[in-house]
Amino acid sequence: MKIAIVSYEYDPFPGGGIATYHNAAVRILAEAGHEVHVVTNSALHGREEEHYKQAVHEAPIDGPGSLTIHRLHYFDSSREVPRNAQFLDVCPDRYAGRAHLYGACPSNIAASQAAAYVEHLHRQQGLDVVECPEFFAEAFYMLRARRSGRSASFPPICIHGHISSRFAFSANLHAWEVGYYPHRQKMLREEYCVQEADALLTPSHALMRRYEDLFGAALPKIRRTISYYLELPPAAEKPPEPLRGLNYMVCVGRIEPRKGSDLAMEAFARLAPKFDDLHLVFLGKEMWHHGEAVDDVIDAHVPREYRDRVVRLGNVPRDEALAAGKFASVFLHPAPWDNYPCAVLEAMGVGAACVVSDQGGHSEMVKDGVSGLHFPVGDAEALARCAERMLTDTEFAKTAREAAVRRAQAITEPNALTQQKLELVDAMLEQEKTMVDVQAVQTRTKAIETVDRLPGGGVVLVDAGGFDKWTLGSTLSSLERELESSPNYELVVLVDADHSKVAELEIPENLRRVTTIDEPVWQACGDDDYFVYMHAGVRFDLGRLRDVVCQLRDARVNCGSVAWLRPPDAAQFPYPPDFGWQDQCVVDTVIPPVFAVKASALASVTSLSGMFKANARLSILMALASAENGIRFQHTGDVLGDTYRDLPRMDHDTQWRTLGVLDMRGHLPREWTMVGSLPELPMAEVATQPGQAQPAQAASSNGSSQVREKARVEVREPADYEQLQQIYREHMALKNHRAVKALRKLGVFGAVRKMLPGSKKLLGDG
Amino acid sequence: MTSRDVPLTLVMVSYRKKDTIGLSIESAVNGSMPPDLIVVSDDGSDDGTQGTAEFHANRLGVPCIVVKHQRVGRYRIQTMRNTCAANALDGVVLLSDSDCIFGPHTLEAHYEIHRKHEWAIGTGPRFEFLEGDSGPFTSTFGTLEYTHFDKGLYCVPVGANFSFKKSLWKMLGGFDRAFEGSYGMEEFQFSAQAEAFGAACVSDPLAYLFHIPHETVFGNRDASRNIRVFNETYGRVHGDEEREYLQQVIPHYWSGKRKASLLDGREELDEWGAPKGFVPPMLIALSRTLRPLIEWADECLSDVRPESIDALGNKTQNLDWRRVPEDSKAYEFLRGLHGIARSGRSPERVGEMLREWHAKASAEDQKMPGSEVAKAHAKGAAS
Repeated sequence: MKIAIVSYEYDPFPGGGIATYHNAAVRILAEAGHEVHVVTNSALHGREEEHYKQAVHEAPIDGPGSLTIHRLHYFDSSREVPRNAQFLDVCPDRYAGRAHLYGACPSNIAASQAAAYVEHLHRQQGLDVVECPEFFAEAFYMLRARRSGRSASFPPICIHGHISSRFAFSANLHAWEVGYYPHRQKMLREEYCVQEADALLTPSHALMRRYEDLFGAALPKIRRTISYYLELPPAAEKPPEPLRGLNYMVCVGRIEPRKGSDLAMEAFARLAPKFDDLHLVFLGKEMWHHGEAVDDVIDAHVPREYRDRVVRLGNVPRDEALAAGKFASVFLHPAPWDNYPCAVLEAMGVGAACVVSDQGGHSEMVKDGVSGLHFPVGDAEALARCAERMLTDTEFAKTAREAAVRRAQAITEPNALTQQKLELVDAMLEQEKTMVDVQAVQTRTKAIETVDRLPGGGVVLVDAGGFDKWTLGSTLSSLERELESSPNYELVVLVDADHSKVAELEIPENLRRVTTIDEPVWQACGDDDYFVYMHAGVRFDLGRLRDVVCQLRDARVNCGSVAWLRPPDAAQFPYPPDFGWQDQCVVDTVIPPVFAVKASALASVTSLSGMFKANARLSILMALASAENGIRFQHTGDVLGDTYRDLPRMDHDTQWRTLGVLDMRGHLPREWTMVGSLPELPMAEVATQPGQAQPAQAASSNGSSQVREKARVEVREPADYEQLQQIYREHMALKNHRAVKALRKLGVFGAVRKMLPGSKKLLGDG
Repeated sequence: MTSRDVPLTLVMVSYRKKDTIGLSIESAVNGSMPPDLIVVSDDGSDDGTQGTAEFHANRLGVPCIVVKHQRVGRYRIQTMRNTCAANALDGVVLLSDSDCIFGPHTLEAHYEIHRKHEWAIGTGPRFEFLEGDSGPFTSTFGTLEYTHFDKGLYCVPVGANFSFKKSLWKMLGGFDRAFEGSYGMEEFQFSAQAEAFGAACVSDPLAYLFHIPHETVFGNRDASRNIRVFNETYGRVHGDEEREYLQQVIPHYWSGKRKASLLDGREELDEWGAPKGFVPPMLIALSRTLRPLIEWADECLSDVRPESIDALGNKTQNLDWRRVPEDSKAYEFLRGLHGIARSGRSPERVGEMLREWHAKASAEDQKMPGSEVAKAHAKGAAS
């Protein structure tokens, strides 16, 4: 088998369980005779060995297979992406600080580069399968490609569940991390990977259950739970120096809420009076909440007289940590929930006396009453009781330690695990035979005469409103080529109801044209048809319209599809890979000028009336499709073509129209009145407070005016404010015109408007 | 059509190149390795370039995609390049302009670069025709000197003669569009990114092409904005790096060392490491003769006036001095000539100094092996 493991968490990355698993898995698989490729980051983390500096390195292994390490430069040891990192065809750092854009987020850069590299590797090596953690979403752009008609560009992808960022941040109550914009995008990407993978593998049933509860039927059909490999270095003969001769309970792992460190302290506080020499030891990095020191946590849970018996040694070498577990009176893992902590598995491997909570993967490793003890999660009293039993019942502790070793060896028997993995790969390859799109020829090695056929049938609607004949012409000629081999698709041009300018567009006679007054074209589509809407000015690279449509067909989770295009200049950063109507409606958001949905997603939209201007039509249709079907729009993870007009932006006018339609259709909560009302917080000039420095007075008159200027209320007008004013003035002038007044007085105004051609222009819209 | 595992796509950007694009396509197709596909990305030409490209590709029987862009106000070179690469086959991509004529082995030499190197930016010399569209020809910039130096740098590959694997283009995120709208550094941005990724910049003597010159080629276009963007983006100082690199390349080339092509033996190159018909430009000719400088002095001596002295000073000042080794006789005499022209002395005194310089330079020139060079250069200059 040719297996690629894609993860930045690999040697010499010093981090936790994911890296530990990868370090062991790749070697065991290679030694079992497989061709293993690791695609990882190039950060050295302080290591200087030459092989860490090589872009491609063939690692020596003791077996018939091979292990090749490919190192790409995602970010440095501090997880800082280079300032010049490019994402698709732009450099995100030019646009905004990193807190405001997902583009330069380490996870996004890693995923984007990994996808390009693995595509190349797959073409060269013919990989059978890719395995990648869900954490950090490095498989995101590979999966996007596979779900956008490019399934042949990558092998099937198995997402290995370790723990998602949302689970981890939430368990630690890291509110800032969960709310931070680039993380929110990353969490969505991770969840996309879990759902759109070709197979989902977890080491614990606990994690699989969590994902099943969250995503249900959207998960891959192929799901397996296979334990981590366990590779134990020989444990040190003695515990770390400060622990020698001590009677102690130990927690190994980061000191953080999700490891239950505080519960261990509470239990220790109960035991300390009974056992005069008992100590509580923490090995691992301190990562408590922002603004709360671990000392404070200890103060809160451990009475003063016992605090000097709480020992924190920080990170220690792995063999010393193992020895610390082995020689501890009790090994504690009181996590409220954890996936499959390597620390527990390793502790069992060296014969530790384990007491673990009854939730999460560790409770699957330790058999209660046999190879250790379980306690009800969150119950400090019960934890203390279990620990006390280990401390006092030496006979049980001895048999539990022996059973733990046997249990660890049994659940991590490498041949059995490899066999299970191979069975998983076989199932994926079998599934691939039915999934691979025979037309997925994006990996093109021969020139082709025609573009690939679009799946199914449907309508492509080009909105020509407000555009000139050149812009429309470039789109139509591009689409002609895109659709020439797809007879089930109809190309239709949407023009303004005002026919006076339609002739100027020079629309070819053979194309159907509709106006905003006509019945929307999707109404005549079948349920399975696809509907593509685009502004004039969009031009697809050869055959790439297909990607947009294929995503609708291939994505497991119902979605809308958008295209990342090259606008006339690089002034605006485009849109995120996923967004729903809520994100779309934020003022200044860039809106993709093309989207596709299943025609049924717009079934309830029976009229385009009131959707004035092309930008508003685009925005309203996307928002309605999203709100009414609960879908997000997704770009395909690649640049698909050009657009010759600036990317549409959610200005106030467009926003108000969109919000209005959403409200009328019952989607916008009526309490939402402030959304997007002002671009900046209104600020008024205020008097200097007593005792405060008086910059306005101290400054020169020029300085004072600057202060006032800064404090002045700034209300930005919509971009088309002048135009709106002009329309209003013309409307009022017409309304007050004597002829109009006379017609109104006679009660024939409405009839005249209907009867006289062009009267709308003369008399206004009424 | 060739039978290769990895396909070769020739991609060309164009704007109003109706007169030359046919020649470009024909020269590529008639070479030793015709492309599997040609992609032309045209930025809204209104002179028939698009139709001409299609016509010639059809005539020559080579698959061709012409991407017909709408003009949006300014030339969007990076977008054109990205569009080209996006439409190329998954293999080797040779990026060029539609006013370049390829040598008989240009495409094959580029292909060979990528066969030998996992990751590379391929390039070769770029020559300028001196008469019409068939030669003789000379070189501009440092592309010939660069070619014969073993170690490449990001500033070696030129945009008209620039190859890469499509997968590298994907990995780097394409050509950065922030460099559009202003002149210079567009391809260096890409090759600098490629170098950071681990790719080598490789130039091959047989990967040469001829550019049909237009008026801006020999002029001086302001690249300061894009140099600033480049320096800020990549944390480098382009001017210093290029100067330091030239300090290694130029003495190497002037010493007569020439690099063999990866297609060694396919075509004989002359003493300059260029194909037959090459007329060395002044900055290369000076490695063999001082005649070009002596002629400038002669010209000034024929009518010694403040204007002619100033003109001489301008000529010496505008030379790219970085391309003359500091320890060479040419540099010594160039500095002397420039010093005289800019001495601020009276015309009479300058005349005396020039005559003195002339005598010494002529004597030195006799010891140099370049009389043929001088003739060729004189012919080129006349063209």
